[in-house]
Amino acid sequence: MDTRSRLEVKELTQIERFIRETPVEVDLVNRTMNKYESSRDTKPSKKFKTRKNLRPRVMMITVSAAMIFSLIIVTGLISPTMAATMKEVPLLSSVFKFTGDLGLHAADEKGLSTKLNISATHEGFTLNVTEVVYDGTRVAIGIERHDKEGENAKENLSEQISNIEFLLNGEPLNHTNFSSVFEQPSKDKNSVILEFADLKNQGGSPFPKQFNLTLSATITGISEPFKMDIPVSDIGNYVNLQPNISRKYKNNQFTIEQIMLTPITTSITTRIALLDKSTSVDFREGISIEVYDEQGHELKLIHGNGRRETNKGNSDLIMDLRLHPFETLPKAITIKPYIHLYNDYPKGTYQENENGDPIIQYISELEITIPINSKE
Amino acid sequence: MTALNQSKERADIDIQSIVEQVQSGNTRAYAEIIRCFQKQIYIYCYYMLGTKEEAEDASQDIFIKGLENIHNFSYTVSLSAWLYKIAHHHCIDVIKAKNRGYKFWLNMKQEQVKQTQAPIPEYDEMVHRLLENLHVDEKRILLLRSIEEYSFDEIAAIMDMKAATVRKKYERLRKKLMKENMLGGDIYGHSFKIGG
Repeated sequence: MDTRSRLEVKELTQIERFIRETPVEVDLVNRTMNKYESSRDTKPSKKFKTRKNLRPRVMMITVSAAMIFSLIIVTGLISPTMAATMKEVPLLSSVFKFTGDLGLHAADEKGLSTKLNISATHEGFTLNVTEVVYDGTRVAIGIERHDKEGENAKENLSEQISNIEFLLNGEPLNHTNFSSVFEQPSKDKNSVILEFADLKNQGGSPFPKQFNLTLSATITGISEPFKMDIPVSDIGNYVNLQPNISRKYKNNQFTIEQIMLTPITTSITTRIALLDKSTSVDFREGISIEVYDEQGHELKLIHGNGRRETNKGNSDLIMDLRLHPFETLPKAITIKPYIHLYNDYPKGTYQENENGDPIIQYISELEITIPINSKE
Repeated sequence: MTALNQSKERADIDIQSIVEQVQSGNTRAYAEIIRCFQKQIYIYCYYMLGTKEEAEDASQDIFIKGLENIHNFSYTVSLSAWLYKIAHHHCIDVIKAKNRGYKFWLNMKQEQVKQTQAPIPEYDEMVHRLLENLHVDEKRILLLRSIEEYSFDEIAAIMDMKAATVRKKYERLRKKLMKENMLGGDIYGHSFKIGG
């Protein structure tokens, strides 16, 4: 390239930077969501029409370890006997007891969660916080509705909530200081579990051991938000391992930075660095993991969040994954990384086997087994 | 922090899990997607359409289209690439609707800026002027390169073109811009001072 062309490239890079760094202050979230809500009121939701078609796709995505919400599909089902049991003991009803999340189930059974009866009522609609638990890895809150009018009984509570905001000791939680809200269904359509985590493993601050959480939930059709103060404290019973073991494969350095075992969650923090220090990553090279105990039992994924450390001039991907707890302390934990195989055409789609499941390929070079010292 | 950094900070898994939530019926989770991509989509619309008001309206409509069609989204492309596809079709519709009036209006606006010396940062005006001489495909390529630093392969996937074609067009737009730069050297010279 001659000097002139090189200069031109430099100038073009400059123009591109101007475009990228155009100073804008724009907040379209509420306006867009409101506009969507009001347009939805006037036409039937496409969501319901297409739910049938959606299922295969959702299931396909769910298989990936990067995918979290398999529980939504699986746990919507509660047996009639169970539902009947629930009705018999309304005062002791636990939203946690009826999830497919073994951790929350254990929290309820072992008395680790705090039972609450905090409620807010507007226009005949009552929202109730039934319990909360925080184990240092995730905060989970059970909520239920009591709608005397019964107008909304057909719709899931989850669909009725149009906005959720949290304040932690008065400070708003947003994408800079928490993972965003994950939801899990529970015993029926009148209840839902809200969950989130801090970003302490991704450069953020940890939540305090004890804090006051303010939940502000907006229900479609009711202008006043439902505000409730929830006292939260860490159950503080966990094993924290920082193995910092790395393996290398091709351009990837894969590190297990931290494992936290609590009675309700197995939390695993991984870091994937690119050895050539490049900052552009093809999503098709994304590495997912499966987690096993020494007897080959696989832990089910609950949810996870991650981010790239682009601010530090690299693109290390740090991921926090939260999985079901181990029933007893395992002798060893094995992490099996894998990748999906993609078709050349259509570009970026998963290769599938004869059952329509995505084909995965384990990367044995990155596999890590961590023995656990039972004295710990 | 640049819009780019903010967007890349949200790693794939985060976005994927939010998408999955929305696809499972939790439309509220979509707010996080808007929060995450609004600046980039807004900047894209701003330079495609020309004014802040239009960019705001268009961005909202694009995000609503995204939400309405999220059940069609699968990881054949990244979510941002998918949003840019929607953004492109939407902007083209808007441009078509106001086609003739557009350049006239933009010229009017620039005249007005000169006369009233409104406190609009001068370099977006400079960018608008540079872009005015580009064909719509060239504009898209430049904006996608600029805002997201997409590779030619990624841009090719968004624009349904071959990567080689994108590269050729990029080369052509570079030459066009440099020619423009020589004609309007003062505008461009000024921009360097701002950029530091």
